[in-house]
Amino acid sequence: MHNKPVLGLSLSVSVGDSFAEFALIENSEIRAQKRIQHSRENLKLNLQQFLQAQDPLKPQQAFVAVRLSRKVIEAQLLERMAHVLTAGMQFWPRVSSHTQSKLTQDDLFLSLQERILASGEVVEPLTDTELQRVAQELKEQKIKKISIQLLHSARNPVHLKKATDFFKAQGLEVFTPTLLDHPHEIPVWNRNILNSNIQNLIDTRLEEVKEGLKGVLEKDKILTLKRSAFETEADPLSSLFAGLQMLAHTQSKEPVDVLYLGLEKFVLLIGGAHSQIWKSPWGEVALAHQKQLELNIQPTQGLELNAFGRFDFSTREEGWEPGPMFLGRGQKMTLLDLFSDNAKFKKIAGLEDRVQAAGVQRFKNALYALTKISSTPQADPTQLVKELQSLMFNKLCLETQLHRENKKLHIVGPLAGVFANAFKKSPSTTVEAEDFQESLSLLNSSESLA
Amino acid sequence: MNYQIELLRTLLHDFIGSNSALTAITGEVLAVNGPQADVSGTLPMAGSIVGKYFKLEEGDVVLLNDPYSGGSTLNQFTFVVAVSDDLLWITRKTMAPRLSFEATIENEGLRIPPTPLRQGGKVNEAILQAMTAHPACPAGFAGWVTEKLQEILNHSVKLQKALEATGFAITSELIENYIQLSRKAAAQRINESAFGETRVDVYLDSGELLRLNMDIHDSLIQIDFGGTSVSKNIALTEAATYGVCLSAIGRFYGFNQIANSGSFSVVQVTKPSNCWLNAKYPAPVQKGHHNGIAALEKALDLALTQIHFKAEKSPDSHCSLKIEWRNAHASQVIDLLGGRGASSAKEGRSARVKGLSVEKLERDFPLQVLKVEKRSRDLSSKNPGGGGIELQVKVLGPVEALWMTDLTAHLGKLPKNCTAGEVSQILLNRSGKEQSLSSSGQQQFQTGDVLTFKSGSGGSFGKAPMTPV
Repeated sequence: MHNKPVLGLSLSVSVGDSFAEFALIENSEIRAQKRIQHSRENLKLNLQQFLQAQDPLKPQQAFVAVRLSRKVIEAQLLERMAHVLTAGMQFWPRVSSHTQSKLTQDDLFLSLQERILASGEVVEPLTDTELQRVAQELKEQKIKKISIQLLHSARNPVHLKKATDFFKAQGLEVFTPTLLDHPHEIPVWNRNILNSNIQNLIDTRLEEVKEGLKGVLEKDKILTLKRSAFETEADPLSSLFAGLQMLAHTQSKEPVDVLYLGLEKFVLLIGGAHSQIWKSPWGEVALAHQKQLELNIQPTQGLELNAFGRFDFSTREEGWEPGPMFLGRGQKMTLLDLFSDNAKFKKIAGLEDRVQAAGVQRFKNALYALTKISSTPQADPTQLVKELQSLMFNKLCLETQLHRENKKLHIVGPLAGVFANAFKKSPSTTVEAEDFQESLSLLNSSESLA
Repeated sequence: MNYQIELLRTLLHDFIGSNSALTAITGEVLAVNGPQADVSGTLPMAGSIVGKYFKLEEGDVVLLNDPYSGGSTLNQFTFVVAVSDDLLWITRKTMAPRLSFEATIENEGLRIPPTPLRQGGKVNEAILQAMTAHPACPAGFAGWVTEKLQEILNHSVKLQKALEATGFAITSELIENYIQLSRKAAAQRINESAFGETRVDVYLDSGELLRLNMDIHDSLIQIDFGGTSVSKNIALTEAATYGVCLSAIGRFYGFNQIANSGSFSVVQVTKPSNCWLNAKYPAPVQKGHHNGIAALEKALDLALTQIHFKAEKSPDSHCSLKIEWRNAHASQVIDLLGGRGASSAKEGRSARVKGLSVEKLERDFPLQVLKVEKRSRDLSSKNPGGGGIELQVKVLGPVEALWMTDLTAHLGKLPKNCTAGEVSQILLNRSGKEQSLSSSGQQQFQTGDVLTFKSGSGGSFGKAPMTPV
């Protein structure tokens, strides 16, 4: 992986769901780095301590990226806000969804009497009375934030503009879709609805980082990743794809696939390819982004007996709260527990000194207990762990090979060093030993920074 | 490594893709994946015919869409690919659908029997040109086939590379072991559930009767369609009938993740040779693949619910409402699916729409969509069934529409707490007068007409508790 040279000392901060990475970088060389589990440790405090420990080194600028998982976004969707749509279309986003996950509560989709045809002709003008009616309804429901989606706004934005100005004047926070003449209105509307939902969440995370940098950097020196490289619009949703995708950008002319083996996610990024639509858990979203695939095998995936009564990985991800059993709090076996005795694994930043012997033993006991009811009894638990590690390596390799599209494959991320053996028979594959590759990649992203 | 079976499952899951199957050249089915209901029967049949009549080498591809050779409707093209000397990957790709009410399969479109498309590393251009020259060949066919073929070949190369990178080998011993384990797991699932026998009659509004006798005993499900009528307007091929049965059983018992020869062996299907579930060339199949499959799924669901009466569930609305809009420049098919039935534990899932963009529809046709929403639900029940879809459009200029559904209300026996949901409706309001239209038809509409299309709702469960006033 090649990084653009950056003059001066820069701080890179990448915040995920559970972990955050800090790296102090000078001319593409890492001077100091740290990973914390921010769901357990205070992000702001740790960032301050990290910078104090580097004294007298002081960054001249900071690059910040935030990633949010489905679970976190889903929790945020419960926030009370309303979505105003052309009358007759107020249920359309819900009816068109192929998924069971709801973008918002059904009763918070409100109709607005107005109509513009595909030609741009206004067949039903939007009246002040109608706007006041909706405003009254919002007031009664104590709603302060809305998104507006009106048919054919891209052809004639007159009603969208009028409604936006009116509701803003009422003191409401208003979100409007990008006026793209897209083949399908729903992905555009979904993007607006999701953006309106996650804006606060991203702002809160960013604010925490900015607080941690108070007294070290002026606000204008803190640059946040606000859009993916394939988008011209900077919005919260686009920023979610901005961090990881930089890993697939190289100075090489030939596109390269990148397998990111992080502590939270295993993702395959397809070099030189991008998608216009994000098939999100809440339906299709118009969002151009680096083509990427979340693998079926994931770091915190559970271990269970399959339909044949044999050991296998479940489809459920346990996440890091409470996390794998080796951390001492988790009650469910995960894929990473299989590696809790691995010396390299125990040295990974953010996990070092956190592996609890009692937790590791509890995992072994749980595994042994499950062998009793499995259809393949295994007397030696150590051998069973080795077998399951081998299964995991082969699954990871198989899945990657079936989905990669370019000749060359880079493997990066904190777990790259631990799982590199899975790819020893795979030609044109290189393993990047750099643990903090995600932070480093942020420095490649100057065009996406705002 | 002892976990070859799990690795094989990963490979099958990640490789085959949707509406595809992987079979051994000897006929064993390793995996079939939907979502189309008929694929468990039709794709293995396509593989079996190709394996029998063609001597394929790695990289060779056979193309077909003939429903009597393992195809489906004529807009769906099945590619049979030799991914190794002993494995066939059968994958189905769909061109834009068109509705038709023709009397024979030959009038429904271009019918392609199994035809070698690629041999010895070369595309058979002469055959592709001959297909393109056929008057019923869809526009842009040659380019579409070439593009799909390239995608398919790229994907099959990945399989070889993945096997090389892992050193994993799909041996006949492994296949046999996997199929045996699947058979055992499927039999166990059936054994753990209820057993018994039942009979279900479903009347189609096209005039046919579907009679299904189901007998579940000793880990075996026997389905007998004795008493089913001959075809009047609807016909379904034997392979599609078998596939729908396998798919419904797999879904009900939760073993559709191990859809292979092993789990299929616990289901036996028999039917009279002259009934509509055993279509003979040149019967058309489009209506059968829509209304016929829906009737079959309904009968299977009802039979399974009656035998497993402790887990009562109201019937789903299986038959969607398909609408095709046509003018001189474009055609577009919209599919309004039906709602799902409720059970004692939960409400039925509401329906959804396939293929509709309101803005695009209004750009391409002289139409104004007045509303698109869920149909109202039965709130007097404990758990309402999933609502169907209601789509209302105003015609702004001359436009032609075709539509297809089944309007038959369910009159047969249902479990105690279950009710049948509302059926589909097609209403035309012309000059203030409203009339119902038939279940399928083709008509030119005028400026000012307002059409309301409603897909069926799922059945509700129980009665809502009385609340004191």
